[in-house]
Amino acid sequence: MYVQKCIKGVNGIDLDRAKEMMQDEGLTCNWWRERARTPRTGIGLQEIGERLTHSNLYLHVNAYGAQHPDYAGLVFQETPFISLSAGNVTAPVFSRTSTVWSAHQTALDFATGHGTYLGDCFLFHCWVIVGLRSAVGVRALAEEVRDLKTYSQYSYYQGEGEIAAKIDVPPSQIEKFEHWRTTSTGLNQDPEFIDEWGNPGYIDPATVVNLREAL
Amino acid sequence: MALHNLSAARDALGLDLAALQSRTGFYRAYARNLEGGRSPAGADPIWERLANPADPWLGPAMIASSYRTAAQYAELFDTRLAVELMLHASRAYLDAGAAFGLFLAAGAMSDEALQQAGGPQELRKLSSGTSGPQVAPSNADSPVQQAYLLLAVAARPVLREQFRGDPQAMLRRLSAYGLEPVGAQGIALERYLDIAQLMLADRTTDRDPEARLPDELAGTMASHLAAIGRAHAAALHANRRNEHLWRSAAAPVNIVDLEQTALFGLVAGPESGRSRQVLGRVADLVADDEFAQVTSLAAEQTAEVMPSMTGRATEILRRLDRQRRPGSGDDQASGDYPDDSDDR
Repeated sequence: MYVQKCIKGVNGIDLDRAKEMMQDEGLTCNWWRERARTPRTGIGLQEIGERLTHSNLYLHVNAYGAQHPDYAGLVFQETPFISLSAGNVTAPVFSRTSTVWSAHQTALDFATGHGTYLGDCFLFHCWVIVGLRSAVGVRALAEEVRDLKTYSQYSYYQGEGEIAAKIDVPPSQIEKFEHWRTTSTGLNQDPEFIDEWGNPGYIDPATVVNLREAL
Repeated sequence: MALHNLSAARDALGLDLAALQSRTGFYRAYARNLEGGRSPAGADPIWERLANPADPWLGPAMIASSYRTAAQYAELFDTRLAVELMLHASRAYLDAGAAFGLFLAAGAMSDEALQQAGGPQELRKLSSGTSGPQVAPSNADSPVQQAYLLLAVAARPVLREQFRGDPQAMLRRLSAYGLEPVGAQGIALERYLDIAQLMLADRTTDRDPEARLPDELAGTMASHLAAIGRAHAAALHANRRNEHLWRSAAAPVNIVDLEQTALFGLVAGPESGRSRQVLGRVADLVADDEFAQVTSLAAEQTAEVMPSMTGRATEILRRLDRQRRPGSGDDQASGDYPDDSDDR
């Protein structure tokens, strides 16, 4: 397993709500939030295992806006997964691909609604644990989503692209958020960085990796 | 069915004009903000951090990638804007020490335009490993970047004349890495080398605009390009499955791939007769798949607008525009361009 740092772009919330999410609630999947809204039932623990399946992960990645074949809502309303942006690149990879996909850029792109959203938006910096092999049914492990045949912009050489977390990312794994604002859309957009807020309850992943320091 | 231009391709792809403009706007704004972050004066802290990371090549590499992506979306609604963005990408790739920058520019420009814009000087800097303080050392030795350099040299006489190495020796050395995947489609390097070999074998010095290649040579070149176009088309077809991302033009695929556009431009050349001949053969070979025609159309439309953009290309590639644009923040904005007296 390895620790992957990721960024999640979110819009449609205000600054106070962003602080609540960072410090109290964490990042939750759409399924959780839909259930909390109507009929305010929440999700049952026994349901989680039923939803964490390969077929639901496939739909999350490849049919996000479609009607879910098994549930009442659309895939994005029923999904137990949370898309996170991951990306970093080394010089040898850049030499081979001539492309850098940065997690920051991808998250800001989603936060600004791909250039269509006006107002405040937020980039949450967090970490998750990713298994070296796929383990869709294990809630604690995030999945690397890297279909190189389909999503050919991603590199053959690097784990860049999308990470799918499951159910939630707790506040202790959220380091900070960036506050951005867009005042124009389309060709002349220019997202503006406003400020950055740290999470006092953040736990550095260095404390849980397989390395013990000697004093 | 044969498509006649990229507007028709946009319709065939089912992409919305406003979505494409938004994608271009986002990536252009991102690149410009990173450029602003390279200036110590007045930069937002976040842009300053992203544009000046610990690895000095990474800032220009991110700027280059952002301009490239912006250009790829712009290809589908404004060719002149796309070329302008491609040239900014080219400049940034060169700043990152990547020969891909010269490959992009050479794919769109005639020999005269390349000469005027400083192409030979950039070639010398890349060949001698003196591309400036921001070069990532490993870029210079990368077989893929070397292949881009070779293709540019093989295609453009003005670069071939200036190249101090032996293109055939370079080709032999690179053939050892033949299965290395290149670019977004993971095309095997050996196909690029085969194309370079064909261009090196073409000793035509006749720059008559209506000159044509021997028919067999044109056919072989076209079959390589058609295969590359089909690989690109397969990626486009697969990505349409996710309608949510596709409709927003946010699917992680190069809808137009500048790398392929430049390659098509290098092979077809700036001369109208040869270009019509080669790209016409490609069009025949991929007539059954509209998506496989996108790259060929992008190369054609780039060739149409480029002659009227030579001055702009020179400004961008020689960084003359930076001296007029306040806050552009390029720390190489002036004073480091090689002496033009070095031109031969």
